[in-house]
Amino acid sequence: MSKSVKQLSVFLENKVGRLGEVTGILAKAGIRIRSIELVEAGDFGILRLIVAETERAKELLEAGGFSVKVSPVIAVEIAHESGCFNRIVSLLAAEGINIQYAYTCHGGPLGIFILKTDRVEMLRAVEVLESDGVKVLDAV
Amino acid sequence: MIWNTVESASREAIEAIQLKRLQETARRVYALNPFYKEKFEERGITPEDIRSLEDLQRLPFTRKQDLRNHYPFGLFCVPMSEVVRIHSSSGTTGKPTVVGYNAHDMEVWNEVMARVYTMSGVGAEDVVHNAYGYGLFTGGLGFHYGAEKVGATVVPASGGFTDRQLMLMRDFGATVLACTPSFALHLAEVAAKAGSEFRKDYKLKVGIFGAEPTSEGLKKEVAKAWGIEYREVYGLSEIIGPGVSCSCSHSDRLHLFEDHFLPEIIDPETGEVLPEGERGELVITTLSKQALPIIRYRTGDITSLVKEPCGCGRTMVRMESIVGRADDMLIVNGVNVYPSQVEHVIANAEGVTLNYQIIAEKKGHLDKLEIMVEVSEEIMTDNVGELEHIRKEIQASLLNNLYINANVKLVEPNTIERSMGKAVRVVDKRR
Repeated sequence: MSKSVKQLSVFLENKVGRLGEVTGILAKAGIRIRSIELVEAGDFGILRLIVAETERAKELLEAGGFSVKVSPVIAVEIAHESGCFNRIVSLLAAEGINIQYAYTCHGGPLGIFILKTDRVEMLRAVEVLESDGVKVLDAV
Repeated sequence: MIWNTVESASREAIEAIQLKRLQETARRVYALNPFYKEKFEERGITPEDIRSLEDLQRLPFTRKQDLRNHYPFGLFCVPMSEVVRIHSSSGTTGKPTVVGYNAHDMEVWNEVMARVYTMSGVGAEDVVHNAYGYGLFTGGLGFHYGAEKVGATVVPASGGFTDRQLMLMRDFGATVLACTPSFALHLAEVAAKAGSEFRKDYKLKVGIFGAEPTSEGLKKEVAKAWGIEYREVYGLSEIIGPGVSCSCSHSDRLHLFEDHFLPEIIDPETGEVLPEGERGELVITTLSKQALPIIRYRTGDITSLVKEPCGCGRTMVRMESIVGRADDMLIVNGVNVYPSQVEHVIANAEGVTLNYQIIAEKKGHLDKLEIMVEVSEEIMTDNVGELEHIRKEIQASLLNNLYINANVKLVEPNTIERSMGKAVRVVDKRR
């Protein structure tokens, strides 16, 4: 396994109050949410989360009746200046590595980008980024 | 008008025909089909033991599952060289229920359908707009050849294409509409967009409706929407197709052509035959079919029978319009669907058993089916595209295997209502 962080994906119906149930379960358990992204596709959506305690969050959400999937994603640290994200995207594109989706995560003075590539290309993606001096994180 | 004098024969004359034909049918299946021979032997009887109509009760029941177990032609009693037509209805895991006819059976079918048309006042001067689906289902072709038999002009419109159908009905001067009641209402609704006087553009006088259970209220609505007489036809492919029974101008009950189809009403739990007039499951023995004779077929339909002659002059037993089902079968826009079939299709499409619920509703006048499928851990993925693909795959699979157009909706685990720990499989909001 290459350097990665764990992301939780939760299946949600597109209904009022469902998102609140997920965040409620986490808040009650005192689990911090580091990053959150909600993708909708008609009647349903997927909520992607990066949290402080992935396994405990998964157990609690499943006990709460949600379908949860844990998958690895790449987290890279970037400075708050223009052109940073472009550099990362260009590096991967030059190697023919496709980014399936990306979102951001805030923590401290530097920003963090979360990237998802094909699982088989993850290792190569991390190598490409690190060899160009990009800092890839194994925890956020 | 009555097509055949046998329809108004005395009870004794009808029973004499029935006994003779029942004996012939028993001899036929016993001699020609190992399935029946074995069933007779299990009960220690031979065709010679059938000496009266009461002896019918000694014969074994035949169920839909027996047809499936002998897929495709295992229950046929003639060589395939003699079979001239095959029809089928949907089945589980893609295996349909198959029925076959020889030339003689086709004549029987056309005969009973000619009785249906005559009972509906349809003859050579009429133009029959046939919007039952043509194809493997018996509806389209059954209504088609019966109409030709009485000399009417048939327009084989089949299903769909509402606007085009309405144009053909107007331009060809259709006097008879043959389709499901829900489609008739749908047609009327679209036709009414031309204005409240739309009926003057049409020459319809009667509609012959069937293939789905219909409340008295819906029948009145259809009749009023088009300003026509409502005739109800009953039938099922395992027996022959449409043409087992039909209502006349004097009664809401349906005359059952009992010289060809011998009916009984049983208690679906015990299998015991119930007295005349009581409601129970309709069981039919075919009396004249040769390719696929069927002994005591459990239709699953709940109705009652009365033998009292009708004001129209017919004496044949009259059945009540179907009041329900003995099993959990649903009828959706004329197509029969069992929840177990839906379950098989979902399991085959995804390789895992998923929790589901079927919701039947009315959208306008047509049936709309929604199938909720719970996203379990087995199929959960981080990829929205994959989930959407699963949804579409189940939807396509239902259409291909069961011929139903359903909207599949993915829902969270434990969304589906449980009753005493068991998931509620069917929610029918149409009644």
